[in-house]
Amino acid sequence: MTAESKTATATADELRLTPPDPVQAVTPERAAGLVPVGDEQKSKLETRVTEFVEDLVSQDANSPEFGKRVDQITNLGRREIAEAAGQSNRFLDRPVRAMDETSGVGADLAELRRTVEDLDPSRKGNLLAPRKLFGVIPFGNKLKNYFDSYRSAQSHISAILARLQGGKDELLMDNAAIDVERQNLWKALGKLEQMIFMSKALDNELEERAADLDATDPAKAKAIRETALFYVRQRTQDLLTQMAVSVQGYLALDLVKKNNVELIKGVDRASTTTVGALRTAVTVAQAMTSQKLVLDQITALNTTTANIIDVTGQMLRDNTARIHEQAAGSTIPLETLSRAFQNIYDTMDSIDTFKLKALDNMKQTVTALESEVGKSKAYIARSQGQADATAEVKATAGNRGLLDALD
Amino acid sequence: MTVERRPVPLSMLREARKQRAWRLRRARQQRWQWRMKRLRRAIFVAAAIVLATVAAGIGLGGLPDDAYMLAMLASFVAFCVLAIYPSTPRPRAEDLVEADLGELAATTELWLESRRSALPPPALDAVDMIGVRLEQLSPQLETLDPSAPASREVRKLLTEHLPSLVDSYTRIPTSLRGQEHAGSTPAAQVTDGLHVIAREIEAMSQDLSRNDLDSLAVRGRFLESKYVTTKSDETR
Repeated sequence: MTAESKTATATADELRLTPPDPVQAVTPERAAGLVPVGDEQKSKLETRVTEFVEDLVSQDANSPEFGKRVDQITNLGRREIAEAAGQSNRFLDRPVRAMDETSGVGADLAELRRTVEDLDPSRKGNLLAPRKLFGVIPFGNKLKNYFDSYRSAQSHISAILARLQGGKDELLMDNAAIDVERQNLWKALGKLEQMIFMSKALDNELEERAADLDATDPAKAKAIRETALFYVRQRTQDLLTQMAVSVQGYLALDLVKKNNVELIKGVDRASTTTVGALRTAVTVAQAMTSQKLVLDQITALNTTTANIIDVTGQMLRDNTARIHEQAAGSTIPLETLSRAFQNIYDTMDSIDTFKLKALDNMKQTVTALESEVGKSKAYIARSQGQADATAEVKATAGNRGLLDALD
Repeated sequence: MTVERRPVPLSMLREARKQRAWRLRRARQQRWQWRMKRLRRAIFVAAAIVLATVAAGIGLGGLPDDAYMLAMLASFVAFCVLAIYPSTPRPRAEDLVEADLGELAATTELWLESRRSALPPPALDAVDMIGVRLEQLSPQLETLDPSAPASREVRKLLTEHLPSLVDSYTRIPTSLRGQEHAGSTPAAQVTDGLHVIAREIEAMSQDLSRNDLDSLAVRGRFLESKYVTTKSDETR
């Protein structure tokens, strides 16, 4: 009966923590089109582009007015790029909080494991053998001493469990921050997408106009191709590169969030199994030494934990009822206790394997993103330089706003 | 291209004007307070001279008539001088550089207000907008770290770019201000420049509040995910 229910509990509640796949590098060509631009917006942007090109073509190719228009092109989407860049770089600042072993959830889990190992009945030798002084004189009761060690450990364990709950809150907070950041990034991506649409429309329109002008005014056609069209294409490339970085950052944020969710599951399960084992110990103590082992702090924790961990609370209640039954009725209650400890170890092990894999995936993602960000930094510096140079022009530019994104 | 349209909505401008009137009233009150203080001081000094003369006359058992005349004259001169000087403080562009970050917005506003009459009428909309936005920026600057890059940007805009734009316009002789130069008239250029600055101040204010906006949103989202959506997580 025990063996049967053992396998049943093991398979039913097996904890599976799946690390999300790493985010692969997004090529600029594939980056566009992730965030849809509405048809209405498209037509509005197209009108703006036509208006702008109309205005550009009507100027003398050598006049300062023409140069002013071209400057506007070099500034195309500067604000959008800067905004999106600031946000995707913030992902790299975000530490993978729970992953390091020296602080936070990782350290608490390690400490919990060490403390729990000290209580594990299977590491205590034969608890049922009579305890003898110098191996000869009967002295005390090993089992009683063993259960006494729970009393001294309980405050430590409950402190660790409280810290784990705090760590879980931190993870939830991280995820909330990621949600907000992703929302901001989504907005920035929408703007970038608009600018990309605009620059491509500009490209087409300018190309067409230059072809038209070839017959009538070859000098102007040349000027359009060599200045305006050249800058438009440069800007298109810049925008696409930034788009790729931002999209990748957007996906990477999701990766961090998924990791956190898995880790929260792990923390919940580790708390539950620990509390479960301690409750089993109470029952076993009663069955074997007919003494009431009072673990006040754990009992208190038990109710609060069950309330906090709503997801696993029901399972905890079911489990303990079953364990109680087994421990009281079984001929080998110590084995039930060992199994409860095994449950904790299984949880911890699966968290460890998860962390290894997740860390690896994280590293791949960060490396991919870092190289993309490095690439994008170069052109951000370039466009910043241009922006400073044209700041004066911008201040007096007549129809600025024509090449701005829609709200 | 030369279609003249108001870059700022009229309703916003009306609100800005209202705020400006309130600020002017406050400034006028302050000016009068200063004047009354000066007047009190002058009366006090004159009275002190008169009293001292009378006391000296009693103490020494009478003074020559010339001495009384001289004392009256001295008290009159002291009163006149102290009632006029020191003159009411007027903000100057140099003061802006020395102002604390917390006072910077208010000082800039006062300074700009003093330049108002020198600016062309179309630029007044922009001046009003700058006033409103400075008012909005002011409490944000008080909590800002003076060494942060953002505060350097704000300082540069308010103490360098804005005064040099206005000053280089006011240095141009009045008759030349309407004549075309470098594509448009100086009057149009200063107007456009002021509009750019107004927009930039608003953008800065937005940037400064972004962290607070974000952290509030994060708090809300956290509370939601911890206490509200647990049920739906269960089914997931």
